[in-house]
Amino acid sequence: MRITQPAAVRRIQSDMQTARANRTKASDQISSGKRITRLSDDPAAAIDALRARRELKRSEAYTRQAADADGWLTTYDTSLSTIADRLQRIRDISLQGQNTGTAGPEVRASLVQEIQGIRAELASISDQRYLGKPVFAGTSEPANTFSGAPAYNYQGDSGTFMRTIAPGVSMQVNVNGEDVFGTTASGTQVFQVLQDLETQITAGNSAGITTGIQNLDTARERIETIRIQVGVKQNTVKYIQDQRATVEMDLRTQLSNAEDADLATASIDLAAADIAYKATLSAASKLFSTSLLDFLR
Amino acid sequence: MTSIQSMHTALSGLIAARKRVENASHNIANASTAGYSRQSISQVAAGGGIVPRVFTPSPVEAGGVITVGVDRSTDALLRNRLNVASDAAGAAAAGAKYLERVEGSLNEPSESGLSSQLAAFWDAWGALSVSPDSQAARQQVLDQGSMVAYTFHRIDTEMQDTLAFAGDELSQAAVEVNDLSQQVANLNAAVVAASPGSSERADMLDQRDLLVERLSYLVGAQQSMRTDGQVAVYVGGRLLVDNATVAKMKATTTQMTWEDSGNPVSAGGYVGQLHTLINQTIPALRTQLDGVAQKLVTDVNALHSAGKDTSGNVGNLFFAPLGTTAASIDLSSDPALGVSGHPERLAAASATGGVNDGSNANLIGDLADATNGIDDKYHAYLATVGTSTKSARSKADAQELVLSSAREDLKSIAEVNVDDELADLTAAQRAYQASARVITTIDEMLADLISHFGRVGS
Repeated sequence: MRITQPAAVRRIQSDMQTARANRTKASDQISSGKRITRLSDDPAAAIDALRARRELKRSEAYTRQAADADGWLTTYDTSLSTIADRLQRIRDISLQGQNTGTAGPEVRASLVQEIQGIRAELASISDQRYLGKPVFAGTSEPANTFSGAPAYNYQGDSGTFMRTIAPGVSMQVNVNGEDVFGTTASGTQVFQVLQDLETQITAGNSAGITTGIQNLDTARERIETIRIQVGVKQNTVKYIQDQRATVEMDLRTQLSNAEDADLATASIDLAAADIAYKATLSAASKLFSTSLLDFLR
Repeated sequence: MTSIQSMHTALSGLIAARKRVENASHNIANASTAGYSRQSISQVAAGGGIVPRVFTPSPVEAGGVITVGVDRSTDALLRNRLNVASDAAGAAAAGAKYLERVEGSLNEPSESGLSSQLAAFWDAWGALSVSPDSQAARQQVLDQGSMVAYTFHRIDTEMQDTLAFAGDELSQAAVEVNDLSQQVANLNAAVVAASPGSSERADMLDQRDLLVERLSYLVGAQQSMRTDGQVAVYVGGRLLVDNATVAKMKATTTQMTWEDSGNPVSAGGYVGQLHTLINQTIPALRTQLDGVAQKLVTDVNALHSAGKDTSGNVGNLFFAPLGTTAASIDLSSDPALGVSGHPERLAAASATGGVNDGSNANLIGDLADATNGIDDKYHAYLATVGTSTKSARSKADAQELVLSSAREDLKSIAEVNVDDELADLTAAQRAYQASARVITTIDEMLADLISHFGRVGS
């Protein structure tokens, strides 16, 4: 093949261009830290990166929901243990009231007074709020969860608060007031049971008190069951929160694999491209310095 | 042969050497002229070079050298290969240029791309589901909704701009093609008029080759040589240049047409690819993006209108139900049902939920994970754009290589090498010196004859 000077010049120029492009590419990767800046750099990896980024964003949402779920469940845990504690006390008081031998009318009156105090305290617990929302009233917003005394009708609804704490894991985080305190129809509604006990103790009716205590035990069992359920849910949330951290780490690794530059490789590439560029320049300087003109006289 | 004849022979040598110097200087002067083909002088020995015929006896007595004409160093096959490569390179260049532009308007992966905006939109719904009573969370959903709509608008506007730009390029190409064809036709006429074997004619042929090469790049033109030295140039089976006649082209916004018939030009090259881009590729990409917008409007509205707002109303619209394209998607500004400017109309609660319910907002936020949902559809779209841009770019790179190798192959024959010309120049100089010496020698011989003949002993 016939090689002319302009052809040699063009070839050197294109080699210099290639060497410069390689050098820029390597230094871009190092300075930006990214392997992909456009979709077409590597479409499959770019889509992977976008997916991983979306998953990470979703993961933040799950983390937020899990934290919220944890807040709700902790509120219930505290409330339910207080309620259980108070009902235990009521049981003691009732047994004391049943013992008519030691409990005279004055003593009974003071026992009834204590029960009334506890009843008021339980009513205030039933109105407890978490982040401004009443916790025992479903999704509604009544002034008092149980009101219309002496009937203590449930004023809330059966609405649920669901929290998606992980992909596909949706959990009800609220506990319905009627489930805890009981429905009016069940005959073991906590406020009714307490009012009955007050009446029976005032009257000194031992058999009535026994029935009352039996009803109270049913209510306590119901509340214990709910406490266990809340505890299980709390554990689930904790477990999933820990797991989310691992998943997020995996996602970050995935994202980094997809779009981040490998600095070691990029540095070696840069060094190699630099050497190639310098060699091309040196070859060019030698090539252009020689011509037949130098030898004609 | 007489001495005077020998003098003429030497003179022809002088003239021949001068012509070679002229030729070398023409070549050196045009060493970097685009499209120039190296010229060489074709010379034959007088007498020996002409085949004697019966009735035209050769000038047996004649000697010396005759300059027959100028030869161009070129190769029809390589020239043809270069034109074919130009056609393919033009098409590939247009494809890469426009797809990269479309890819650029998507601006992915980045914080301002649609995928980030969608993620923020779903996240805003998730936040609203936890605190449906928060005015800030409601406003955030509306703001992100507008941002998503705005991003769709921006992408679509840029795609429309790209289409308009392609239309502009089409009309510029029409002007250029008409101009080039006219020049080819003019050169056709000039080539016929020029004297055969002249350097001027060779220069014209070079210029014409360059024009046809550009026509190949622009519209995929092919040429066929005529016996009289003219060329016919074809585009899509129709004659663009027929000797000195030119068929004009005219651009509409979407295609190139023949000015006389109004029929579309079935062009190759850059313009042919523009046809495909304007009428198929870019509209298809716009339609696919519209599909993503439509899916977003339909899916979000279906869930949203099933939910309940803070006043207990059901059936509110999040997106305007008729805005199902990337250009028209927007928050609903329906006076009774639209959420635009009415954060309280966002249906965070389910139809059966109370005022503090956020389950519907949660459902809408979960659309982010839906299988074959909006995000998947958009990612599929990005994959389409990414892979087609990548293949267009590697095709353009490859065709550019093919073109430059075809050009180098032709240039290795056609191009001027200054060293060669300097050597020729030196050789011609020596030949000139030798011929001059011959004349001097004959002159001295004649002088001897005239001055000294007949004198004896003096």
